[in-house]
Amino acid sequence: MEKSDPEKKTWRSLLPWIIPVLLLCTWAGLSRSGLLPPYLFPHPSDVMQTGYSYIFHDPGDAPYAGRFVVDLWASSTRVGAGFLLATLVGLPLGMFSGRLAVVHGVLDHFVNGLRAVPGITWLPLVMVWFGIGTFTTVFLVALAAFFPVYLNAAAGARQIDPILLHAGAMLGVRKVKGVFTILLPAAMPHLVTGLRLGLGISWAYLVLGELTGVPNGLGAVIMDARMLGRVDMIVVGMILIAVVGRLSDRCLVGGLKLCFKSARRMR
Amino acid sequence: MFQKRQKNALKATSATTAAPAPGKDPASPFLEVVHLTKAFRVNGSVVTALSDVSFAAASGEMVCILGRSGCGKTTLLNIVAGFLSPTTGAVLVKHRAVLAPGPDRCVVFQQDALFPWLSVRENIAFGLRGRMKGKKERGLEVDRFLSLTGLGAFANYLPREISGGMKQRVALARVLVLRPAVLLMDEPFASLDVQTREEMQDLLVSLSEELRQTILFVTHDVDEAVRLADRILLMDRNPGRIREQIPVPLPRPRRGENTEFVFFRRKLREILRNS
Repeated sequence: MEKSDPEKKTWRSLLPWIIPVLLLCTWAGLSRSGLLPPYLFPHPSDVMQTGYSYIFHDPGDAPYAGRFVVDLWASSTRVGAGFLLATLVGLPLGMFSGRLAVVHGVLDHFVNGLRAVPGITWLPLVMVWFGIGTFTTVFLVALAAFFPVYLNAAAGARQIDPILLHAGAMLGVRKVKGVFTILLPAAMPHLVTGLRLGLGISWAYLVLGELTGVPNGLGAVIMDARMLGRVDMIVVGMILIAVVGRLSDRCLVGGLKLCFKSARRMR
Repeated sequence: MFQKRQKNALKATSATTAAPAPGKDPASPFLEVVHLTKAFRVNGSVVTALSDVSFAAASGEMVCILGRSGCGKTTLLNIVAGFLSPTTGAVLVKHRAVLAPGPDRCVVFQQDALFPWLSVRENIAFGLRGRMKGKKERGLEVDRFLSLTGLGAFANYLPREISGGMKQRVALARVLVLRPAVLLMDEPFASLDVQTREEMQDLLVSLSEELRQTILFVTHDVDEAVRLADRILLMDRNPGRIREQIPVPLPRPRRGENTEFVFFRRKLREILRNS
């Protein structure tokens, strides 16, 4: 056990901020020195101003002012829906494929083949199917998130120590109940990894989906800003996606720990 | 005096179909293994792991299966547990054939088989869920076995936070709490240090006496067999079969420094060497 020295603890909690602060200082220095022309990369204070207006000002005050809440809501629902779909399909399929040789035989080549197709190549086809808008984005997100969720669930289910299953059988656990009392908790570390990777990639494909020209969303704002030459707004969008993505990851892990003992007690 | 003892021991050794030890109930053979044969197919050729193994254990009896590695003793245990099915023959528990694993024949494995996401208390309570209705009743039962196995202070620890010996205590408690007809133990103390192993052996003896638990104990350790067993089944390999059944009439508690113990152990070693 490590000692929880309070002084050490505050020091530790500062660690994650070192790289952002260093980057910010370098950025500010380069901008001030004139090495970084504003039309390529704007000064941090401009970006902060745009960001502030984007988040807190009333809509109509300036271009992009006050749109954040609407965009965030639009993007989160798309990510949420796509990720949920990927989890509902990928997690059970992965677990089955990890435990049952037949399912593995049927699925494995197909899924891995499909995985080799870059997500972006789906875009034209999906646009033909669903047109421009939410459906396309959700589909792309679900497709992208499916693979890490599926693959990690399969790996997690496959490498469960058979002795735990023997122990469960002798302690009177029947097959169906065993899925929830043994398979799921025993595979939990892998499941968590898969879900986190899946959610991370969801945000990436969200932007791809929203590039198709939906009216709102964090990705849509970035694309819109590019067309208007508002580099500061592009940077604001990128930073916000980083922050929101990180927060959603924390929420995912926190939620899993809240719901599952096995996630709480993971090493 | 020594002569006399030697004679007694010899007599005991020569008895192949042993009577159950005194104090045990001979009328109810809890566990019967009848003409058991197990063959595996390895790279196209058939390997006979067990050849016509038959024996019985009475209620409350501690039977040790002693043999060198590769003699099929773990295979035998796995068949009794229901993890493997025999090629021919049958295993009967209370006259009913064994077909699948079940809580009437619980195993303490050699390696760590605790559920790592459950605390000590939850591991012990695991098999009780669905068997005992009342939550309070269940809690009391778990408490009882926590204290019987000396785990009271560790109830809320996770398996990874306790030592190997403690883990085997939990493994023992989580199956004893189910009151299995037969407790199966597969070299459960083999990976423990000497002191801990002796502690665990003493614990097992006292628990088996208190709970009148029928136990089938697999080991390759002569000392362990002599220390624990009411009766020893000596196994040969190639093919695996029971060569001899040896009752152990030594009084308890059995200590390594005891003359009778030393004599008996030497005797057993000789028999093993000649195999």
